[in-house]
Amino acid sequence: MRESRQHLEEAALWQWRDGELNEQERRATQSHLDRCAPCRKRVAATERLFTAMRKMHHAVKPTLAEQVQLVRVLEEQFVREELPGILVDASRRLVRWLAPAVAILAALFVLLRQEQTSSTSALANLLPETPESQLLLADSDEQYQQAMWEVALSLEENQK
Amino acid sequence: MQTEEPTAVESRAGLAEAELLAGCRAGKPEALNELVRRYHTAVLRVCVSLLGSRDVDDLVQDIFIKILRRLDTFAGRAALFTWMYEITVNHCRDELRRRKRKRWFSLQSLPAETVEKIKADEVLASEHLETEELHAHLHAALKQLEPKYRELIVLRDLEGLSYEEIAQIQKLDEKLVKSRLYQARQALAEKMKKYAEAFYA
Repeated sequence: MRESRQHLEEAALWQWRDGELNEQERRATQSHLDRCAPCRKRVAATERLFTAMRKMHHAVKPTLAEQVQLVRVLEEQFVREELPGILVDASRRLVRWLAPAVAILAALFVLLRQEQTSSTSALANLLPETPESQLLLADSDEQYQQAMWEVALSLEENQK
Repeated sequence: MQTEEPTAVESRAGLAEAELLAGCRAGKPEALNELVRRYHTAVLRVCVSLLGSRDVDDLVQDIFIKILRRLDTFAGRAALFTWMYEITVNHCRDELRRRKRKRWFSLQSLPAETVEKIKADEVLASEHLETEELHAHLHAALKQLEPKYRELIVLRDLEGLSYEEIAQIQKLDEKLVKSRLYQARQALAEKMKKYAEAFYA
């Protein structure tokens, strides 16, 4: 029973106000309110209370300055600059051509290195093992210097 | 419930949320502007009513920053406005705790008579609507409610959200939301008892 003997229960009044009663309960509550001035007064007082609260709540609005400031702060942190379309297309084309070009250059470099090494070893097979041939096969300054010493010594020995 | 004031719930009609979200995620200025235009007022008034103070500009700013940082985690299971209310309510809860701690520490260093005066002022505090006595009393009464009750009154009676939406925001069962809301209204009515003459007049 939602209705007390004399007046409506508080919970029933809230439910009636929120439209949560079924048809039968709603009619019974409405009928009581039609006959009972104190209950009508309670309903009216509650309504005034919440109307005043809603007015108070919805009176709060941001000022233009507050809105501008908020947008400014958010833009500083979250806006990402976009490149003009033509630059975006150009950079995409560059990436599309650059990657294969780099790959081809890298492959050529490796091949040439291998070619160079194999040609040096082929030459070593052809030349006789003399101090002079070491001069031709020297890869570094150190080896070249060493070969020069060998050539000088062999010349000296030959002269003797 | 008949409300004359526009609510965030009413303004959600016809939102192209997906476009707004995509624009904000991409950092487009017009999307950020639109987000502020649509939700600034609702976030601000919820903060003011939950904290009982108009001094919430930094807080509102932090809430929007949090929303934008978390946009990637927004799965779209709920509507954007429900998710925004959730972040706002949680942020206000944290702020209330922080202010309470700060106030406790600051009161420890003040003379006893000053502390009493501050407490008396707070009861009738109405930083925003000093001109209207009734509003001042309501403001004070709302401020004196437990935060969990205040949230319910604000979301249901002032913002006009449904029980289902509030249950999503507060991560509570709908039945619990209803029973707590009843307790919240009772508590508010109790706080307003001494000013009842104003309403019965």
